[in-house]
Amino acid sequence: MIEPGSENFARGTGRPPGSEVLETTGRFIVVFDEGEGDPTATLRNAGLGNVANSRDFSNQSVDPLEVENADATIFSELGIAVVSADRGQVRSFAHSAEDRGPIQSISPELVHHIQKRQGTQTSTGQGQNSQAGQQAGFQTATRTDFGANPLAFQDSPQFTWGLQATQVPSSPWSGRGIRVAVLDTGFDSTHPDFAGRQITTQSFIPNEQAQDGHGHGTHCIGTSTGTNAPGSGPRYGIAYGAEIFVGKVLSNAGSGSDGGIIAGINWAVANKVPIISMSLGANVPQVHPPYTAAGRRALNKGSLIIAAAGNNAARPQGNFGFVTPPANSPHILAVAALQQNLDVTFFSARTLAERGGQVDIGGPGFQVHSSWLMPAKYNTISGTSMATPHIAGLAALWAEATGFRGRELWATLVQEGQRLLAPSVDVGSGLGLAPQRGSRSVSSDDDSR
Amino acid sequence: MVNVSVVVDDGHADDLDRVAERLRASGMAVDAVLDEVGIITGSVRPQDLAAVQEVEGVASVTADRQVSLPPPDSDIQ
Repeated sequence: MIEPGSENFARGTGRPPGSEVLETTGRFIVVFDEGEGDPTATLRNAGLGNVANSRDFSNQSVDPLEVENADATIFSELGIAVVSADRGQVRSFAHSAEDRGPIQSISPELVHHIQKRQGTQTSTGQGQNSQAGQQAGFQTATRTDFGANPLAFQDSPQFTWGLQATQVPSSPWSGRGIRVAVLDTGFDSTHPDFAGRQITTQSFIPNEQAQDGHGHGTHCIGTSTGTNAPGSGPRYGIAYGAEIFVGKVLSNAGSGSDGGIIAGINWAVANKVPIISMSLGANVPQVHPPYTAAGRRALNKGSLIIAAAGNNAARPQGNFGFVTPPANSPHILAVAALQQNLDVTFFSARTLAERGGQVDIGGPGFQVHSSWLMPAKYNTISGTSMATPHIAGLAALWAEATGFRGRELWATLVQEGQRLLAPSVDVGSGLGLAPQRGSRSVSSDDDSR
Repeated sequence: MVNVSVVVDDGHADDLDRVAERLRASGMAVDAVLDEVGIITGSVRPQDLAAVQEVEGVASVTADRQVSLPPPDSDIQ
């Protein structure tokens, strides 16, 4: 696209090897902001006298012959117009559009062809082909950003490797206004890194308070919702602005059962918590009906459940494991554990053949530094349990950035995941990433990129 | 006694209390009626399981599973 008023018509960076230079028609595609202004008036004011509108055609099926001589054709269902204008006209049009503001983007109209196999000749000229070859050589030398990454991430004095890999440091969002529930062993309320935070606790374990007597819950809460300014060591927390809901569903000995876990889910949904993180599972391959029902009904009410895929693989011994309940339920997002080079960890469970048993996404889950019981304060451990709160924290950032909940939030997390070379049965749609201002579409009405 | 989770079908989502009454009449000790997820938890004697499964509005009855974390000093959790 070109920004209104910009002369940069060739933003086509990132062209992969073997692709060709852009072939354009000389016309332009104008995208209008949703629900703003009158596109016809805008185009007429810009000096385009003959404007056709899809609304004037039966079933909005625009006849190309009838609009052949139109200066512009508006497709009203989409808020998009095809405009015939020379480059100078478009430039002045783009400039004048700045004042009115209803135009989101103006792009050259591209010529598209039937998909063909690489290496077959095209009708494009020789000069273009050699230009494409130069582009290809340039790209081959620079494009190395798919995992497994030989240059593995590592903890820095400022940030854990997991926060770096998921691009948290550069994200302007913190999960402010978003509730995140962590259903686990509770939380150490004496931890100084959480001073001043809004925290709601509830124990579903008979005769135990929500205070964490294990450490696992405090570690998961640290990764998903911990501070951006820890007392010492690197930042380890993602959604530092989120409101924390601590549901203790595992005892201080680390055990629990369906009754308490489902009660915890019900509590979180009743409190309108959009993100529920569960780093737990029973080590069986069967899908468990209560979690199928609970996951679906939670999604219907805008709550997304994110669960650990399981640590039952022993890959060096040829055992790939299986995704356990609750993560193997079709309506619960299953998270694999990635290591520093973005390959799957040796213990992270592989997708099951049955419905729901798939790994959906991966998160940092090896040698993860986060908060722990006082006085130890911090601990570094591994597991799909540690990958899960990374994804929960990222979900809180996306929930704040987009306003999405439930299935839309699920779709956004996997859609925006960084694809990896590791098999999809092991890492799903890849590494979850934090929303970035400008470089990614973070609101439904910003389609300019 | 077996701890169980009873999933109530979508058609009885607004009728959980009445389903819970029928479960009690069938011999189930009801612990919690979870409105948001449409699940009733509790315990039942093994010989009453069949009757509980036949209660109107019940989609499934499953025995609770245990979940266990490794000890706090484990490298992988």
